[in-house]
This record gives sequence, structure tokens and C-alpha cells, in this order.
Amino acid sequence: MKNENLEILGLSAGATREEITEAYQVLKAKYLEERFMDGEVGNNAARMLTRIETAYSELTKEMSEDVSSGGGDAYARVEELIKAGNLQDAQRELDNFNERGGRWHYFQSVVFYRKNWTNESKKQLEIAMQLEPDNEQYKDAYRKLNDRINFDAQSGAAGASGTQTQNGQPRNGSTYQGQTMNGNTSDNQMGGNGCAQCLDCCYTYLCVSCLCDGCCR
Amino acid sequence: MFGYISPDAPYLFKKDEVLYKALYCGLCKGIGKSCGQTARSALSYDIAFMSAMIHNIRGEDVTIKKQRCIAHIFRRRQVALPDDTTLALGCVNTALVYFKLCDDIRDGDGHGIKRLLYKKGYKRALKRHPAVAEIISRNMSQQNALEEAGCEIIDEACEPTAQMMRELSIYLLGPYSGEWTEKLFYCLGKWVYLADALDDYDKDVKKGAYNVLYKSCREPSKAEAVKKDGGEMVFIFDMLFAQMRECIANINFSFNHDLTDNIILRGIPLKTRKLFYGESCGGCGKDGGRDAAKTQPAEGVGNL
Repeated sequence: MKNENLEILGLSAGATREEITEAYQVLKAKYLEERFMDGEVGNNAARMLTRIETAYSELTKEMSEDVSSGGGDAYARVEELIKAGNLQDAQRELDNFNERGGRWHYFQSVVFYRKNWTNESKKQLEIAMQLEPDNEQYKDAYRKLNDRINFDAQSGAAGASGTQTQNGQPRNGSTYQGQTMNGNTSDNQMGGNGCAQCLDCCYTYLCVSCLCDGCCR
Repeated sequence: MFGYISPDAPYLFKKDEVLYKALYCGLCKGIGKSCGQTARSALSYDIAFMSAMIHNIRGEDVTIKKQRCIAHIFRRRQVALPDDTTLALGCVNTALVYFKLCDDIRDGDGHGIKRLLYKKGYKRALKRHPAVAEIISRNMSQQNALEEAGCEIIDEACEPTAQMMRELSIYLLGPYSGEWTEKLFYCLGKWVYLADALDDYDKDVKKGAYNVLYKSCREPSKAEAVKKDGGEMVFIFDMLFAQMRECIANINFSFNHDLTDNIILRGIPLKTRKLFYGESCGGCGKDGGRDAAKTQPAEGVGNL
């Protein structure tokens, strides 16, 4: 942040966004009144008006760049909190942001993901990608998130292996293959949907059997 | 727990079916011991699934014996003799049912007499496991608050029920609880809540009652919601299945886990498809599967 700009507004280094805005508004009101006065006072006020305008616009621009380019400490803090598993505080930090650029939505997505709110996480990533279409990190995260749906279709509990794998990969093999909303295409049962009826038959049989239970034995 | 968790019966091994039924009978007898005879009628197979899961993770074997019981006087049944875990689960079941009935009364679907029936059982459960009652009542009241506020975010609306299951698992598993078991039960709770919302969709819309899926997509009937807004719901459910798969792949089981695998890997997706696409095409997921593939071809991988 340029100290010169701060001095024009009568502030010192380390001033917050609120302080800057307040000082700017007070000064602007003051010079707006003075600018129609006679002599040097009026001239000075008109000059100062332009100077505070430029100083203020430069300062706000710098601040928003600070936040969205990741130079800001705030994102580092959020990242640390997420790493430490303190999701509540991370969420509180995120809520405090005024500027919400792609990076903000990315971090919000990470927090949601850690909370197992996968759908919200996906939505936030989509917004982040929309805001910054060239950012590879977001695209990569989005791809990884969507790939998780296929867990074990390639590597995990499914399949014949059923043995322990390394690198923290799944330990338990399973007899059954995982299913999705689309059903299991590789599992083509002869008779197809017939098994639904077959099940009904089973239930009917079960009911009849229960009814007979009392007298048959 | 509303009886949504069930196995994919045609794929269930005979040995697992025996175990499943024995656990159920054990629970029933256990509830008789811990919460009194009337509370026995509230038992559902969901808890039998939890019993299988928790016994397995805790490494506690069950002894199966043939016994008679009040419902099956003549033919003796295989019963997994109730142990401490079974008794605790019995209390969980009684407390869950009791709070569910309280909830129904509050919503105007009065079951006052039914609740009275279970009140005594609940009191006994409360005495035995006060922590369980505390977990359930706290999370249920949070759930009510969210519903009254008309929460429209699906993930958020499921949070209290999911948290409830997570906390119950921590309590029941004790030292055996871990990151993956917590996540598994969280996902199960979330799924149960969503399955219930899916099941009650049309009913809730008709009555004007709260339903998060309706709130989020605003379609007048489930069929239309599935058609128009299916992609999002398919994503949520598929993600849940994937998370559960990941969890059971990472949990340390003490015994073979075919029974719980059948339920999580096959039973739960099957039940979801049935609720989602209707009973007739849910059986093998074929017609439903093809429809879904048509409506949202590129959902998921490589959608960039």
C-alpha cells in the first residue's frame, strides 16, 4: 500500500479498509463545501478533491487485489485452519470476507467438502471456475471431486483382488461390487427385471409360510 | 431410522441371512430385557444392520442359539444372544422411535396412543443410556429448527440427522470409533434422511409439509423432479454411495463383512433407485438406469 496515498487521507500505514473509507468520506464532504469559496481556499479544495479521489481509488484497488490474488494473510489463515481440521473457524474467517472472488469460492468449496457437503462443494467449485476460467487448480479439483464418484470402480473394495494395497489404499476387499444410480451395467442377469417379480414371489411365500408357521409344526 | 436400510435379498448369502435374522431376533429379545416388552414391537431391521456393523467393528462375536419367543411360539428361531452392545442398540431403537413419534405429533400426524405405549420403554432407555437420549433429542431439535426455517440447501438440511448417526456411532463404538466409521455413519444418516424425503415427496407436497428436495427443486411431483432436476440428486446419491464404499474399504473389520457389504454396496443403491425411478424398474436398475443415462449423459467424470 502506498503511504503517500494514505497520507493524503490523513492516515498512517496499517489503516483498515473501514478507516480509509471513513476518512475519504469526511474529507470529500469537507472539500466539496470549500471548493466554491473565494481565493486560494477554493482552489486548494478543488485540487485536493482530485487527489483524494485518485488516492482512494488506488487504495481500494490495491486492497481488493491483495485479497483476491492470495497475497492476503486471510487466505493463508483459512488454509491453516482447514489443514488443522478446524472447519468452524475456517467458515467464520470465510464469512468475514467482503470480496468474494474465485479463490474465496474455492476455499468455501474445500470447507464444504471437508464437512461432507459434496453437493455444495461442487456448486462452489463451479462458481470459482466461472469466475476464473483459466485457473487450472480449480479445474483439477473439480475433476477430482467428480472422479470420487467412481471410487472403487477402479481401485477400491470392488473387484476380485480383495487384498491389502499400499499407500493407505483400501484394505478390505468385498464380495460385492459397488452400485450406482445407473444400476450395474456389467452385471447382466438373465431374465433381467424378472428378479423383481421373483422377489415378490419370495415375499408372498414368506408371508404364507409365516401364516402357516403356527399350525405346521 | 425408518426401515429404509435393507439388503439386496437375491444377492444375500444364506449364511448372512441367518446372521441378519438372528441379530434381529437378538435385538428383539434384548429390547425386552432393557426397555420392556411393549418396546419390542418398535424394532426395525435398520438396527439389525447397525448391530452387525458395530459387533463386527468392535470385534465382539455373537452366539447364535435356537430359542422360542413370544412371536414364534412353536418353531424355535436362531437368536443371537443379546450382549451389552445389543442392549445399547435396543435403547437406541426405543429412543429413536419415541422421538420420531413425538415429532409426528408435533407435525399433526398424531400417534398419541402409540407414543404412550413406548413412553415407559423410553424412560428405561433413558436411565440406561442417558447419552443416547441426549444425542437424539439434541440433534432432532436442531433438525426441527432447520425445517421450520425452511432450509433449502440439501446438504445443510441433512446435517443434524447425519450428525446424530455419527455421534451415536462414536458412543456405541467407543475406542473402536475412528475417522472412517464416523464418516460412514454420517453418510448413512444423510442417506436415511434423503431416502425419507424422496419417499415422502408427493405426500409432503400435497400436505404442504416441509421437504428439502421439494424446497430445492420446486417441482410439483417426484416424477417431474426426477425428470427435470435428476442430475443434482443423482450426483448427491452417487457421491454418498462412493463415500460409503470408501469408508467400508478403510474400516478395520474383525470378521468377514459380507452382510454389511451387501447392504451398503447393493441394498442401499437398490433402495434408492426404487424410490427414485419407481418400484417396477428399480429391481435391476435397468430401465431406470437407461432413463437416467439419457437424462444426464455427461454428469460426473470429465464434464469439463
